[in-house]
Amino acid sequence: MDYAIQVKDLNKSYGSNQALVNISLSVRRGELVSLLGPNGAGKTTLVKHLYCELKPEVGRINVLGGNPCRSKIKRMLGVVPQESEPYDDLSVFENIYYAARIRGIGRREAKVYTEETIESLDLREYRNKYVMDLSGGLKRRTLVGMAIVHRPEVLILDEPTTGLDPLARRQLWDILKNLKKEGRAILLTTHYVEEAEVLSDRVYFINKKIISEGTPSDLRTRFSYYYEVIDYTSGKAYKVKEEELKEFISKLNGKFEVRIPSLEDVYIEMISHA
Amino acid sequence: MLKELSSLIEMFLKESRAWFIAIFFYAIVFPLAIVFGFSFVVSKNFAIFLVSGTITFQVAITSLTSVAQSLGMDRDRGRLSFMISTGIPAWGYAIASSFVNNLMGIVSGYMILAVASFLGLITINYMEGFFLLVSLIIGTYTGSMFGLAMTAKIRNWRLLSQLALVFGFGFSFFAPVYFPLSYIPKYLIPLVYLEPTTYISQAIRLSMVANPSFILWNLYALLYGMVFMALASKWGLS
Repeated sequence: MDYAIQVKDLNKSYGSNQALVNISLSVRRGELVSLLGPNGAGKTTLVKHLYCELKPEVGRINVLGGNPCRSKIKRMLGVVPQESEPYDDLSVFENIYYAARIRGIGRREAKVYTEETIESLDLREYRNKYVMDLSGGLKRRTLVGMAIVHRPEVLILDEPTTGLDPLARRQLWDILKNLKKEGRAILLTTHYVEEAEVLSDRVYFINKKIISEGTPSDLRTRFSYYYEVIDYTSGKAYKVKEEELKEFISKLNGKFEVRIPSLEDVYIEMISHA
Repeated sequence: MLKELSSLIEMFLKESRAWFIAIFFYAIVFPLAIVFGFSFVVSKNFAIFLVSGTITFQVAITSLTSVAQSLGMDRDRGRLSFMISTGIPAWGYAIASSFVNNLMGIVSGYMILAVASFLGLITINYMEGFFLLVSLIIGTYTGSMFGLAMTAKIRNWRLLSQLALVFGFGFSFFAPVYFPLSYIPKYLIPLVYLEPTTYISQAIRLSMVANPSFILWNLYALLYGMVFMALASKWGLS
């Protein structure tokens, strides 16, 4: 199997507080994988290990077949850290251009790459604007530009849509879908279930340890222990076990709807029991 | 790595356009005003301390304080994480981010010398000017690494920013910077040797009079800087 990221038995603690417990995960080339977990679940701590801001106490990390602390590997990574901002006093072009230059790309090539990145992210109109004058969504798009300008093979995005309005979030989703189509391996952390469901090939539920892993539909069916029945006559919703479903429905008068729980229901159920 | 660092310095030079007024005032006008103002009240014997002390003060503010404050802010805004992800080492980022300030600090050192020379406080030739450059570069490195270690240890940006100012000013006025080391009471000597400005100021003053022991003080300062670079690495910024 052609893995872009492999983590094996990773542990991390801050004093007596265990932040990560025996984390093992993988991301294949061309795959978009989401880490879904509540605040304080250790998502950022895990991600920081992948680009060597933190070093593992116990466990092994392999990115593109090597140690992520090596600069050769880092040059093949694109990272959008949590709550990060571009440089306010530089223009959109300058932020993206220097993100290429500091990765060792020459002036001429960096200019070409920057223009192409600006075009692909639909930032042409804002090319020469200072970042301090941009909206949150445009700042985040500039950050994505800084992360992808050098054509990385692996993209790591730590809660890239947090704080964005619904429209800006959708625009960023479209960008991520396009990047995935280009064959990049993408690891995304989020606490928005809908985001993970729409974008991901696979999802890891994480809360200091891996709780479960699978495709969104697989997780929904695997952990659907009940059906949700909505009785439109009374306006009530019921949780009904599969073996009791037929009998339950036969007793209803009027319109009703039967559905399996959403990924969000599964997620909340699992996280609260973890 | 040199190519990447020079690109980073170029980026920070562009960014400094927005801060030019503050940088120009604090790096050039303010220290010159100190030397000019105090030149009327300082005795001839202590003029060298006024000049070397102000240059040391300048180095402390433009390296130690500036590195800790700008690095702390960049960590708070996720930029330091971004830079680490690109392969730029934290120490390289520290030096590049404060390059403009440090450059102005070094320029300021020579402007202070020129003004002091014009006012008749000191006389200096090319050789001493070169020695001073060596001391300024080493002093800037030491101050920057102290700022880097502070940033690594203190995660709270507001606290870091305040302490960077306190240390920058404190190390300039509670250390033998504006007066001789021999004036310090014996019981305070161990404390004084903990302050990086003690080494930097001795090296700067002795290089200005071409006293060969400036080499020794520079070596102490360099060693001090390397210890703090190692501590920063141990505390997670390498």
